[in-house]
Amino acid sequence: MSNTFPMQATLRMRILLVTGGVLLALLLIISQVLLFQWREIIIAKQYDSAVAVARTFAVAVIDALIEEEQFGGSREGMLQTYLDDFTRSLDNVKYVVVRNLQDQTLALSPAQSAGAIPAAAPAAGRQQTAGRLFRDPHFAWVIEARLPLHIAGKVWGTAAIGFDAAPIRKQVRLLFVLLFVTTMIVSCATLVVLHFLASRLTASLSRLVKEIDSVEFAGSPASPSSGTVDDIAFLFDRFDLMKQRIEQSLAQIESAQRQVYQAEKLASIGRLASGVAHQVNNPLHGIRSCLYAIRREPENTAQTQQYLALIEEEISNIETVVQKLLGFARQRASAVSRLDIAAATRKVVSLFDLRLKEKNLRVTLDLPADLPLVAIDHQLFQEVVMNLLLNSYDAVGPGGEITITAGRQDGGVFLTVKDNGIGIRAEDLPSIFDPFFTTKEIGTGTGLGLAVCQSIVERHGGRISVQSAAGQGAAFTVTLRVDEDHESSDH
Amino acid sequence: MTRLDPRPRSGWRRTPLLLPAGLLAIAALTALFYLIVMDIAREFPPAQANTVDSLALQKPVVHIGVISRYRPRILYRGYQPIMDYLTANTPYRFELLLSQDYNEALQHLITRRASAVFLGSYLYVKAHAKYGVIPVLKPLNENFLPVSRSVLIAHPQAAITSLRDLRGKKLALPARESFSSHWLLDYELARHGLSPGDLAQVHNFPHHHTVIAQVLNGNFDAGVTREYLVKDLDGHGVHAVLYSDPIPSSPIAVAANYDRELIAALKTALLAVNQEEHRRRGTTRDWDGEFVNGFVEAWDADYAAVAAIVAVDTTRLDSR
Repeated sequence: MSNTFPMQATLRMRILLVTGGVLLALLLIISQVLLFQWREIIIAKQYDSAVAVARTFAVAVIDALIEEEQFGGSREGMLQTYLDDFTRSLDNVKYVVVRNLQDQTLALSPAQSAGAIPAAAPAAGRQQTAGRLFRDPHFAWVIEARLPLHIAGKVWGTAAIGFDAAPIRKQVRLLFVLLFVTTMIVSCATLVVLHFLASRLTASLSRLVKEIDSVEFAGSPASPSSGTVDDIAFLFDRFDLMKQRIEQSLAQIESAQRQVYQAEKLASIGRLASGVAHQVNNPLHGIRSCLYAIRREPENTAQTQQYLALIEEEISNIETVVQKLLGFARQRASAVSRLDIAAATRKVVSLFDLRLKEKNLRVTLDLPADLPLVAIDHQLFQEVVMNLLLNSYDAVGPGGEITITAGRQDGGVFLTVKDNGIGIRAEDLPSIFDPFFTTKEIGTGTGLGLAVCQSIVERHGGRISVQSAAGQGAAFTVTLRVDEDHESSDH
Repeated sequence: MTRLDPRPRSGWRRTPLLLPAGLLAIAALTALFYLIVMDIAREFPPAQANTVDSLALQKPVVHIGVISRYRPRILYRGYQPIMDYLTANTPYRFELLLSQDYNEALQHLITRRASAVFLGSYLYVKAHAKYGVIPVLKPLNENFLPVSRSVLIAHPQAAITSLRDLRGKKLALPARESFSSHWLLDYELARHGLSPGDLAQVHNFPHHHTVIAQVLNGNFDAGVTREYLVKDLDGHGVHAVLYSDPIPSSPIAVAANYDRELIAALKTALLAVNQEEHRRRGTTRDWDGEFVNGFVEAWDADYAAVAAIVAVDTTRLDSR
């Protein structure tokens, strides 16, 4: 599961950050719009209320002004009395001031606030209903409704009433907290839901990744479904189909590989057979010559004895060749087994003795006897050695030198076939293990030998490498894992 | 086998730093937003334009008196628009000059404090007889006739269907100097063989609207007022018992030595109030109901009938 955790975390984080971020931003925008709209409604409502109270107040103020106008001194003070009563009757009134058209104060309440009453509105607005919401140094937050005192075109002045605006701010603050908390709760809830959904999604994906990791393409069972009917389930289905197609492709590749092996094997056997035939033909020629000499002089007993001894020797040579050939062929049916690669290599080389001698090649073997056993198909290993040997045989000219070395390396064993032949050009090196790639003349090589070697070696968990330069020979090294289970007991 | 490498390319190792940074940013934005939200200072736009033409303030002021037939507020409400109209349509700035009673309004005219006065028909007849006051205009009623009527209204529970039913009842009257008061008290009662003593109570109120309110409230069984004031009261619990004969409507009167140029301007402006057209334009929409149909010129001879009805005794007229 540790392999799937980063993906879960990342995908979940992305979903949470992107989707959650977008949702959070939307929520914030909506709550801001709501807040501002709501705030405006609160303020407008309070202002309307202030204007309504001021209008009611203005009716009585105008009556008082008319009375003072009509009755003069006898009604003097009536307006001030009314203002005082009005101020006392309403808790949220901070001040009331009545001014005439010349901006002179006719009456104000409370009287002690004379010096603190905010300045009058601009002259241009004195005949219009208007207002303001402001922070006053003396009265703190005030919402002021300002009305012209008029009947039709008759204007006596203005009346301004300052109401306490603290309740407005309190409502706005409450609204802010309410929306903030609501936004936070909704955001958290949204993130939790998103987290849950993302977890489910990434869990399904993790299972899919686990399935992908566990695929061996060797009769592996179908992947279990995701347990859901969604896109992930669809992905599982498609993955199963892909796995089936890959398995079919692998089977086809394996079949093709078998055919390639067979073709290369036939080619190798052909070349081997020509060598064997040569080794058999030479003694047979000798035997035929001896028989011819014996028939020509049957009475020459000494010669006959000498030729019979030669025939016997040649037959023995043929038996040796046949035994070697049988020894090579006997391993075909075997599978992976513990192999002493030094011994197996010597056997292969011995098959080529005659051809090597004919070309006057010098073969040096440095194969320690105490090498650990290697788990590999005996026959396939022989094919590898034979191909490498044939490759060197073809690369070197008469009198050339081939050195076969084996030894331990990094917990495994290696086998190097080195020659002093024509070498490989640098530009050809990347391609030499490609199937059907050859630098030999047409009809001389199949181009499959090294590809088969690489395939065999890698199938047994080993690797094959080459070091070469044009004109400086080549050295192919096969590295194989040691059969550790049996190493200690065998040695 | 190739293994999928789901590790992200970007550095999610920074995520641990993102969280506190994000929270800090949110906190800072929240605080900033709070300050913005809590700053509620503003100016509210003017909602009602009620401007006085600045040119009007430069015009010579002309005071127009009005008898105290209604409460001052009602007078301003109904008569100030007429002053505004005159101001807008003449070279003068007209202002109302209210009075505490009918006689004071007349005194305003006599003493030239007022250039013209809205008088009642009865008061005009007396003022003409004593001071030579002359009428210049009189309003048209809804039928576009320059007449008006007074009406006796009664509370439904008072069981008054004729004037004789007033016996033993409480009667509310407007000011003593009003035609309505004289019409019923001095004219109709006598015609029906009654005297004020036959009534349980007779009380003069200073304003017509008070009379109506007293009857509506049931404080008085009946009351006398002007017809146009009660035309909308059907279904409100009072009913008309008796109407006066049509009399010339209440005039706008001037002193004998009036300012002819001024009064000519006043007459021209008010006579231009074509009833239909101005009603359609809304010119007279806010005018007192008595004047919404416009004016016609008035002559002293028009008020002879009034004098006959109320038998004016000019000697009773107060002379201040």
